[in-house]
Amino acid sequence: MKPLGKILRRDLWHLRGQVLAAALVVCCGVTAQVSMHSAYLSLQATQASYYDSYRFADVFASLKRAPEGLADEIRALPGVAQVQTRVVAEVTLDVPGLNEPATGRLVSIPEQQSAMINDFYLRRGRYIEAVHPDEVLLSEVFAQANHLDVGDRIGAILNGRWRELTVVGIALSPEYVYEVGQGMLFPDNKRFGVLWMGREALASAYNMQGAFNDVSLTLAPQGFNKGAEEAEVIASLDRLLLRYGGLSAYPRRDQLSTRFLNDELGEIEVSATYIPAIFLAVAVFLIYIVLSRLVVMQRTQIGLLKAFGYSNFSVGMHYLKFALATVLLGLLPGLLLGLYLGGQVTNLYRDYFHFPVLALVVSPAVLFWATLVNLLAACAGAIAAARRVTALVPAEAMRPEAPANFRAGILERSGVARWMSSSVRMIVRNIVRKPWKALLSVMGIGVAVGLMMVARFMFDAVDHMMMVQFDVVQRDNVTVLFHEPRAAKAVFEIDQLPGVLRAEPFRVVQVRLRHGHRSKQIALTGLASDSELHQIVDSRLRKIALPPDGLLLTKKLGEMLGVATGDTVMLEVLEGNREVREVTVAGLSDEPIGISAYMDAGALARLLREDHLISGAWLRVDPRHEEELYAHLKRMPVVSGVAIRSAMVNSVKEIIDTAFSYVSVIEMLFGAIIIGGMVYNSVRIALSERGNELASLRVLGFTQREVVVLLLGEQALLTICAIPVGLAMGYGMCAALVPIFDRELFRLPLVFSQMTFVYPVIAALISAILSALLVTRRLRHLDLIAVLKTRE
Amino acid sequence: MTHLPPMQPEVHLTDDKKSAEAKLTNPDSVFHVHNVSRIYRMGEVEVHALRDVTVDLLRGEFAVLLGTSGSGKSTLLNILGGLDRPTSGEVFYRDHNLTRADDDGLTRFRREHVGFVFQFYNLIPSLTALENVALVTEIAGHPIDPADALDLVGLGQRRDHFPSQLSGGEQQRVAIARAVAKRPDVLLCDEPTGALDYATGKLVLEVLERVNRELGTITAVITHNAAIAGMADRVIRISSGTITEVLRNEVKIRPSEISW
Ligand SMILES: Nc1ncnc2c1ncn2[C@@H]1O[C@H](COP(=O)(O)OP(=O)(O)OP(=O)(O)O)[C@@H](O)[C@H]1O
Ligand SMILES: [Mg+2]
Repeated sequence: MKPLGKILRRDLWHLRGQVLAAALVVCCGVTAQVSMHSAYLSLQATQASYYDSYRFADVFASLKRAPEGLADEIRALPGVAQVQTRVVAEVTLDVPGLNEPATGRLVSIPEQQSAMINDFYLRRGRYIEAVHPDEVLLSEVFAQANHLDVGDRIGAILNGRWRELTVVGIALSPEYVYEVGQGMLFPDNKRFGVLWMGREALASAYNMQGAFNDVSLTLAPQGFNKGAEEAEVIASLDRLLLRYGGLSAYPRRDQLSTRFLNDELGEIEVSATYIPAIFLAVAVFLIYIVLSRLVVMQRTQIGLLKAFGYSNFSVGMHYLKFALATVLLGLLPGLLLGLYLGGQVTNLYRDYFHFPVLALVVSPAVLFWATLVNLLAACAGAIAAARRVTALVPAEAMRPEAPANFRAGILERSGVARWMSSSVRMIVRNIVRKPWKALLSVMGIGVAVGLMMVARFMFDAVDHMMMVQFDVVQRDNVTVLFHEPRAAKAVFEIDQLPGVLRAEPFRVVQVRLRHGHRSKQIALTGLASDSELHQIVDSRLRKIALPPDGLLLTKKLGEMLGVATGDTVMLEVLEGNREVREVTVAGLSDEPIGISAYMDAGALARLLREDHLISGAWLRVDPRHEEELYAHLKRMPVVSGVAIRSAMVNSVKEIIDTAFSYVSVIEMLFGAIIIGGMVYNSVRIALSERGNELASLRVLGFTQREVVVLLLGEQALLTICAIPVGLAMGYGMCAALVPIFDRELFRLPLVFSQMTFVYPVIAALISAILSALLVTRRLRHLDLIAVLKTRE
Repeated sequence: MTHLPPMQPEVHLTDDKKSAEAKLTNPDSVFHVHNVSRIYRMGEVEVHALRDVTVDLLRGEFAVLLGTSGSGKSTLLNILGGLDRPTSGEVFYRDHNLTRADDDGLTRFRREHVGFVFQFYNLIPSLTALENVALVTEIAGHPIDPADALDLVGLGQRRDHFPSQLSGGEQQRVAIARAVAKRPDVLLCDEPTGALDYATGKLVLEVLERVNRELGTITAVITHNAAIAGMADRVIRISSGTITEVLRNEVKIRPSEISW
């Protein structure tokens, strides 16, 4: 085996450029695989242990108000382990240093610290003391975003009364790993935060002594049928809470923060599968073409070795080792880079998902699988190429290969060839002669273009979602929410505030819609049919008139309920006397974020049998008086929450810019490396196959440039073919992502900005040109004389 | 077939000493190689492929270069064809000094004036016979019609065949057609029959003779085969990098009469 070892080393050195290109692709694939899987595992493991150690509840429900005694009844339900009752209230906060009012969610905790479900982790400071009813613990992200710390004070309006709360501790809870307000997609940590406050203090502020409005429970460890038990507990809980204004109970997986986290985990899982798979396929292809060429070039040597008595196996092993060496070359840095990048991605997640500790989990299994899969890929490429070795009979192998076989084909018979110049003919015939190789090259480059397109598409989709939601649908600058429904005239009070140009009232009521066996709890919005600040649109963003009667559902909600226009649904009001009515679905609208149901304000009032109450108002605001308005809103007792569009949009943009651009730069880079690797390898192979031909042409008086055109023409043509193919593939990949992201929380629209087509094309061309030029340097050193002595 | 008047080149014995003016003085001299040496350096070792060679190629002549293997024949031919440069000395083509030309200059020189025929044909596999010829005529100034060039070598019927569909001799004739189609001033052939059998070899020699006769192209043919020398106007013998002898054949033998 000694001589083969020497040959191996020489071959690797001789083909170092191509080996490196293939190794680079392997490296990217391994990096992607290791980093994404590690990030996935880190997030998943951290979530699991966090939920477990802090006794995160299994079932949640909120209600209007129930006596504490009900807790015992809940505890007595079969399958229930522990029960926690709480008082939860949303309030307007006046945060020092923040012009706009912020929204705080006050969550009660016992005055005496004890082990409880939905426990929290105290990062700094101390627990609250019963003697100081104004002490609170503050969520860490909110504190960070607003530069608050232990000892700072925050103004808040609790049930109409102005209070100054003192921060005594900074905390995190498994309930708010992803800390967003209801109906928001991206966190706005400056303007939404969670505060934990003593139960007595909070209850007395809201007249909830001896009562609760929020309950969560853990399930007793069950046998195999956990799902059924859970459903049963939820059903009985709903029955118990019915009398107390209970909204439907929901399992942990529907809990907002958990759902975001799980969705994200699902997304990484998808990307962690398909992106490394692309690289793997490209790597196999590259190894295959490099080895195939090597086998052809070394056929004499192979014949000799076989003639000397080396077996097919030992000769084949030589090429397998070549492939393994190539993969190993990319594998080792890939593993390290993967871990590094996995750490970076995990770091990025810290901005979204808040755990006491989120560190990279270095899993030997991940490293093992990445290694195994890539070594197998090397074997696949090598075996495909080594079949030629086995097929080679020694005697035949020793003879030089016959001139490349070209025959008249469709091009010649149709007469098209006559219209081409000699160079074009040569280029086209070389492509046509090996259609599979050409096809694979086109696919390889195409898939890379597609990958880059997907990276850009994410921006476009989110941009579009934001545009539709905040420019087309929600046209207000500020949304004001009241604590409780108020008489219609309350809107005039708002209208009088400084800077308000227009105020439109709306009514929001929690309802449950039922259709057949499907049901969904949803906030039903009643608005004026002539609303300017909230527009209902169809999928092509055309305004839909609000029907005078009946429901208008967003498409996704319609799908979830399985209803079409004209169907009737059962509507159960989850407030007051819990009216149950049959209502017609008068139409479907389209919104990218969340799910909604609309009704004409008058029709809703009739349905609720109430006298035009309003839950809040949408405002159009004069930007010059914004701050004045905010100052007023902060102190208005009737106001429970204020949402400011520009602040929200900006915060989203910031998040997208930091997180998405990091990921998309890496994806673009990866795409460019695939293209570079493919083109470099193809051109090197072409040069190796056709070097003699090109040298002959130089002898015949063709200039350097003419010969370069002939060498690169084929690749240029393939690259140019690959671009539309790649854009189509990219479109397909994006289209395939759309159903994956068709969620209740948001839906990715299949929209593209021009730049999404332009960037990948430019990147592909630059990468192709640079890697091709790397090869053409070699053309300058073509040995014109040597080529005449050797027989092809 | 033979309407072109065959040119009778003068005998021109080269003399190392009375050199430089020769190109000026001898009106029939087209190539003038003057004191040319070519040294290959391989590490410490120097190989003198050519030593102080001075020789002329004359208008319309058919010259044969004879010599043992390694004597420097190909080196001389490559220098004449602008593929290689001498280490010292000068090469003139008419009044162009090839030794002073840069790469582009040499490329242009090859493109406009030189036709090459090699031992291994070096046809472009992806082009048909006709297209291989057309490849060169596309970039030439006053070419022969590619089809006529193929007729000249007797392959008019095989014009649409790809190299892989032609025999060795046929490929070599296509290579000759390709070389002459641009009406080169000189046709340089390095062992054109080296890879061919006896009969095919003769066929190729006939084609070369005919081209030389009908088109008046200076033809220089390298061969190991002394028998071929009979068909030359002049025979140039090389040994160990120096020209040992230049002979003028008073009577040329027709290729068909040669045997070996
Ligand atoms: N690229 C090179 N590097 C080193 N030495 C060379 C090179 N090319 C030729 N030589 C040497 O120069 C000498 C002349 O070579 P050349 O090819 O001109 O011989 P030749 O007469 O054509 O021989 P043959 O009949 O075998 O083709 C030889 O000794 C050869 O080894
Ligand atoms: Mg030679």
